Amino acid sequence: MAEMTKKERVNAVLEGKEPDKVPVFPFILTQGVYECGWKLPDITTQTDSDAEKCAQTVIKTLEEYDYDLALGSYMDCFYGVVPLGGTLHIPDKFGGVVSAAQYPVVNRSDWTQVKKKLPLDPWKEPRMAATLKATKMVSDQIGKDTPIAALWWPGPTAAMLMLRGPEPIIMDMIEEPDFATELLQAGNQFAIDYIRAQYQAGANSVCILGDVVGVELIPPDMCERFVLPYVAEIADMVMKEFGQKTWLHVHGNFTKPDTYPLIEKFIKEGHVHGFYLDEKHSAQWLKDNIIDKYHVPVSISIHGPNLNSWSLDEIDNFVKDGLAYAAPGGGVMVTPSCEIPSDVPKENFHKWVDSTHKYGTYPISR
Amino acid sequence: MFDFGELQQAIILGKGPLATELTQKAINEECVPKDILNQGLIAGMDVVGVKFKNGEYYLPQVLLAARAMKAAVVLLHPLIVSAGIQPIGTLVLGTVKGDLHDVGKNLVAMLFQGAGFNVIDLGVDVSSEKFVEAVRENKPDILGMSSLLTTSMREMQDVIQALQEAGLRDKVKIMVGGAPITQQFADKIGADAYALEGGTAVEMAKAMVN
Repeated sequence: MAEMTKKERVNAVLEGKEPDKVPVFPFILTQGVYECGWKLPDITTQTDSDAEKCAQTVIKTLEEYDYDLALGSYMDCFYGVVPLGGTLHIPDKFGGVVSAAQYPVVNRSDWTQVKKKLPLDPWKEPRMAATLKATKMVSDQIGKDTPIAALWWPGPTAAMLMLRGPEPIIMDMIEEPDFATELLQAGNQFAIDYIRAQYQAGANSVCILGDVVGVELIPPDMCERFVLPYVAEIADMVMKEFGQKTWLHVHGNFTKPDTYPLIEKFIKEGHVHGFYLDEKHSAQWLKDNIIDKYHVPVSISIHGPNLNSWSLDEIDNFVKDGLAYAAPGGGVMVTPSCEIPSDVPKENFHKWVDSTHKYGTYPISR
Repeated sequence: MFDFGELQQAIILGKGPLATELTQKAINEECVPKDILNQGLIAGMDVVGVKFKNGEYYLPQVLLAARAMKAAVVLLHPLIVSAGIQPIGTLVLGTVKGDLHDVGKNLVAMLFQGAGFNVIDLGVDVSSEKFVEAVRENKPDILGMSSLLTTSMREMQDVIQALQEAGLRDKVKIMVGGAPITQQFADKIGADAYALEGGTAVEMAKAMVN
């Protein structure tokens, strides 16, 4: 098969077809900062980020590892926290990640004041605007042949990270579902605005929706109520306005009898076009239960900590065995189980990408 | 005769008002406080821990059960104190320095409290010095450390080193957990135990203190 551009390669997978070789999406966020030799305070503060450096994290890691699907910028998970009245923890030590030090909605009564500050305009909020400028720079530089994904979190995860924190938002869902719904809707609108802005800035490929609530934190019936509709709303917007597909990166174990039916619901009602599940799902399970059953593409995830601690041979064997089973027929990408660890050893990262391209070169037979 | 099974069920189902009502009823019927605690509340939370371990329960059910137990214990507390009932052990717990994640750590705290442990929760971003000081001060049976980040998990080794330097390492069992932690890592840093999730951690801790 003739060599494809990265864009053609990823597009083939999104269509459920065989590309020339299996693409890698390493989900680089903070790792890119350390790859460039910076600490987090070099690139972001409570109120602003450096657009040039945000772009460099993408360019530098693409040059170093030659992976296939990129994000448009360095991002952290907590945009919106500071403009809404919270604060961030931005560690200055190698390997740390940005987190919320204080959420805007500590007590339910805080919401009345916080919601007056919404909606936030991602082009005007400086930390987010920097990522959009970075996406434009990255798109201008490599966007012709390299696919650039849009990324954010659907309602529950967005509200959890931006407004309230995990336990309070879950208690809201149980005790005050109408209040929780209001927060989730606000989180989803924020996600829609930011994802739309990323496409306007130069994102040109799949939308990755990352959800950590899924069935990791809440049971299937709550997932159906509090996650599914928000995923559908974003997927519909992305398809309607930009003609792009949406992959759901959702945490939790979907191999159980009570959770597996949600896969079908996410496809049929959530309008999801592909799944990026976590390390609890083997290549064999993904092939048998998603690709072959629903004809929907997937990614095979290596557990992030394993990527750090495994030997090069262990990484090689994991990739080889997984692709030998799942990749024949196409519709397969390779990912880490979530954001790639900030301190992943360079040689392990190289081995993972190189082994994927080596054993993932088509034709592949079991 | 008081039905402890009914109280257990109230805890298992996270029915706070019912759990407090039944606890008050048990007190009124002059049940032995230790029986109310062990046969009612802790027995209920044991079931919650097993259900969580088996994937039947998720965070919301554990949160509700823990809240129900907490409300019931408030009623029972004066009787526990006057009867001189001791916790089955003490756990000092925290998320290591550089890591602000606390969902897993809080869940472990709830399950340990539910199992009858005295839990001293140091919170998140806890330094080696703070862990050492807490061990020195509280003399726990178990020190639990949690981490969600591959970068902060290394702090666990620093804590163990600091305990050794303070002459406290052999006074406490060390248990580690969190998404990036493995048995291999626990062995490497010299921890006494690793648990994949909170229910298992409680079972291991009970065996340790027994």
